[in-house]
Amino acid sequence: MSDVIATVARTVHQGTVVSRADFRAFYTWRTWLFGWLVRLLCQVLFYSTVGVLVGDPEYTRYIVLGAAVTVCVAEAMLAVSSTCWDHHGGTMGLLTASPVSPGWFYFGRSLQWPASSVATTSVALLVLPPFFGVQWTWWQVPVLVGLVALTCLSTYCMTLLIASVALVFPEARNVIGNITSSLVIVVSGAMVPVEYWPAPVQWAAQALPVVHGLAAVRLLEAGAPDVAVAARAGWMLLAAVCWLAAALSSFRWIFSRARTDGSLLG
Amino acid sequence: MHALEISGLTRTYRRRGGEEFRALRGLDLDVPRGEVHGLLGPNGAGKTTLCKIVSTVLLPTAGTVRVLGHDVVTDTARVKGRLGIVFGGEKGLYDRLTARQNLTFWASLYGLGRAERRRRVDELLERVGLADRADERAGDFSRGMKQRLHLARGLVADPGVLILDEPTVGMDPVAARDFRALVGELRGRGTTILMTTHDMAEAAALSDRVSLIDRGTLVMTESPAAVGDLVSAYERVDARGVPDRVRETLAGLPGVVSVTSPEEGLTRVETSSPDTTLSVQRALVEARVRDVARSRPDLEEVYLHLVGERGMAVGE
Repeated sequence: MSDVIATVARTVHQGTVVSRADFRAFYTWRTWLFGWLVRLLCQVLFYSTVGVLVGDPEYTRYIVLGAAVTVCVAEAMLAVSSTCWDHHGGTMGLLTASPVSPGWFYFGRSLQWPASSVATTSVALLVLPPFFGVQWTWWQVPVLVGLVALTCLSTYCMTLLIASVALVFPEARNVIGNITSSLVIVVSGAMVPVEYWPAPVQWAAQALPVVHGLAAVRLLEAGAPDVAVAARAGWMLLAAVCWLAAALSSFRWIFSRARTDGSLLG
Repeated sequence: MHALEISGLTRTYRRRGGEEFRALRGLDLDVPRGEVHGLLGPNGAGKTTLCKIVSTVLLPTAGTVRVLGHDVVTDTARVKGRLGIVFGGEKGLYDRLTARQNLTFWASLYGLGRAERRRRVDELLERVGLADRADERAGDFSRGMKQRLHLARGLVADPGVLILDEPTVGMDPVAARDFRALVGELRGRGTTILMTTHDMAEAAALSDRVSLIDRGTLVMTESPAAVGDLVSAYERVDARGVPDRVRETLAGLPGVVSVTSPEEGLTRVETSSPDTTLSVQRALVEARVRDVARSRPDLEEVYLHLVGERGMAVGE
């Protein structure tokens, strides 16, 4: 058992080595801070302004929290693209031939995005909402950051499954990522309550970690009992485990299938 | 037990439109432990498909492949741990990682412990001449340097069997010479090597045996010298200053396969037996032709004889 855990840890770690190198190639701390973070804050600001224009302070609070939390969805969804980069790098064949578990490797391979999104989403939630009537108490801040971290990681687990599917259609990776991201944000309760949608959509939305993450943040802001917040976090964790299990199976199946049709060899 | 046991290996691809293409057609090949085995063949002959099946990247459609006694289909995990692979070309590296990080990456995935990993990576970087550039990004390397890094990567787990698919493509002559020395070292340590190449001289110099593959079938497997012997029937006599009437006489001799002029003033007579060669030489001497040379075909000529006029053209 400890051998298995050590192998998984080693595989994830090597994935993060590639992940860090990619992130450094993408951003310097300046471009991340003044480019990416500012861009995301502007996005949250834009949607929050819609709430102000509606003239309902309660809806404004609703939308500012929704827009801030769902920042993590767009960022986590970048994992769809970075997973497919290996197609162009020609490393897929070597990964297929190596003893590596592809799912755990790809879990580490794109961890730069949830790591970054913990920072961007936390900043978005801590900096902007106070201007729109949302106040955090000092003891709520660590809980909030913890919920954000869990939401980002859970959403990333969901993204991994989408990414594994995108490996089969690497040319469509950006389309797959953007459409999925938009759909998730639309039904997540960020702009309109989940209850607005037809029952089957409401039911399906419960599988989305961000739905529970957002609900937990709103409960925290509303001063709900700790147990209610924890329950939502628990559902989110359960959803994350299910998505991760599905993603690991999917990667295993796709790599296994590739040995039949050569589809990952480029 | 052989290092590689390949029996009835068939691989079919389905092209767009549903049409089937058979890249390998019932290929049989055994490679003993410690042998350097060269695979020769035109583009599309099935060499790379064979390498990919042996290295567990592709599944065979039919037939079996055993690596050090382990089946590539049913015992894949054991095969993976015992194989090193170097596919040709520049791809296959993480360009944003340094040379050292690339090697450490694969060493770790192949289960080497921290201390062993460090020692092995340093040793390989030194061996392939990249120690001074170890902390530079692989993406900034020249094609030849990338190829050397590929080689080091293939050796990182100290494999019992090494698959080299066009390993010297893009290497400069010095690096190619070092590569040959490295193959010599590996042979000395008992590593079995299956190597595809288009370079006849390289195959002849490095291989204990060579296999010629054409259209997915094995044409022959022999030592480079034995392959030459096999087609010694196609001995040739080169002569300069041969009068036209003598050329006509030579062409009429029984056993003469062809009389050609590969260059200005040179007549090349190909014969089908040593007796015929003697007859040709006698006829030339009688015609007072002084510049006469008899030679044996090199591996490249054998190859061209066996795969015919298609030579390096892409297979069907």
